Amino acid sequence: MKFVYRLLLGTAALITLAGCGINNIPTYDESVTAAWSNVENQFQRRADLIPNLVETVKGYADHEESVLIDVIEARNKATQMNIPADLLSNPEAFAAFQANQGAITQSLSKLFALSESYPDLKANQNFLELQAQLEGTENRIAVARKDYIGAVQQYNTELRTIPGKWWHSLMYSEMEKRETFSSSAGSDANPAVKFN
Amino acid sequence: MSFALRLLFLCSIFVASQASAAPEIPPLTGRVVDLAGLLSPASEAELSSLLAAHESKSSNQVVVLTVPDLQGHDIAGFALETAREWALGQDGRDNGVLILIAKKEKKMRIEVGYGLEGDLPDAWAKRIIQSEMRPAFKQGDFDGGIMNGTQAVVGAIEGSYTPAEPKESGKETLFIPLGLVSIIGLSGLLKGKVPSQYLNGGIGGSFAGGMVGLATGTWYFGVLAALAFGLFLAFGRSGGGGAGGTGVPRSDRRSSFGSSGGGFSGGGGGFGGGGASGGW
Repeated sequence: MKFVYRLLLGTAALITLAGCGINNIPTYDESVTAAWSNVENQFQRRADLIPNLVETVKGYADHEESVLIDVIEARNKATQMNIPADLLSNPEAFAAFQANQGAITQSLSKLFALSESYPDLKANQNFLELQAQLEGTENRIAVARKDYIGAVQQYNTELRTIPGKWWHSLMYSEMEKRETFSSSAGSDANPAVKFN
Repeated sequence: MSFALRLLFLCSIFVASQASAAPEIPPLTGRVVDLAGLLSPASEAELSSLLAAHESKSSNQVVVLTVPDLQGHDIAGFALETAREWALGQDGRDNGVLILIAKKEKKMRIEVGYGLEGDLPDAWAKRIIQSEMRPAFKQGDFDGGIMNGTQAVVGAIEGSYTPAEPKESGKETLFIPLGLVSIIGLSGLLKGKVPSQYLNGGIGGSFAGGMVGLATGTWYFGVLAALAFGLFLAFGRSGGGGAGGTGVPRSDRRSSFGSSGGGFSGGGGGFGGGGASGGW
């Protein structure tokens, strides 16, 4: 009989602890990781689209070389960046990552602004498709960033509020605060999409 | 009052405070939600049956929403929030599409769920907006533009999915067999060995927990309620008389969650910002 009571009491204690959020920190950490991998995917998708875009534009606007070179260089700098394993809890590396991706966003919006003055380019089917895909990707990046910011906010808040703060110091002290995107000019807002 | 009981009380407060407010999204009243009044009743009916037929064929959930204005949001954000809140598409397939038209801002967007991004790429969505919807909208022909655009969307993704298996409401239904098994097991185990108020506590507690679990759809609410009510029945009342939940017929319990009444609702699909926007 004692065993049964102990079993019941143990179960009750476990469930009560779960209600108190003993599992919250690892759970939220997982959603941060998942949200981050989506951010990375979308950045990668954009990087993959750029060479094609540059090739297409080159044929129509080859004396705008400097803009095209800017795009390529920004892309290469971002894709060749040495990303440390602790990126998400490393403020310097995270800021550098964000700056590199922001540079791509800016160089691309310059490129699309320039394309306005080349009617032949704007009529090119291939260019239109790439433009639609890149617009879509920028929107996905914005969504993935927003989801990531939300996940980090939840996680960081849990670390700093009670009862999460207690669990953190008791059991999860090795888990660090995560970095999140700051809204810097140009890299945060959706690039202006022209509807005509 | 012992420390453990105080802790339990504290924790139940933490749990209750986890509920949060939802953003301001129009209610999903059907497959065509024409809040801006852009469609004639005939086209609305035709669109609804087209979309219903498409869903029964492919399990894709395509929904048309027109709004008078975007309440100060940009169209991409508004479409995403709405599509996520409505959870268009089936859970796991993410095969939903939201076609949103904002009258005042003169903007439209086709928001594509994760699972259909391959069948309806951004470039196609953009082409549908520019060649099917925009020309008609410019002439004030919303009926024709929405009809053509929706047909184009359905045509683009047609046949890309096999019919889905009937939806199962997995988590909620678990409570009933679980509750029954634990009641039977407990009464067998404890029969004649414990005072009746403990038994009543166990039965009543499991029962209350099951009901709360069903009502909230969250397992730990159920378990907490079971504990609280069980403790109350076992220790909180002198004499511990009858009044158990066992008198409630099973059919009554089922009706607490089974009465959706045949309305249209999202299947739990996810969205990640795919699709295209445009204006007229």
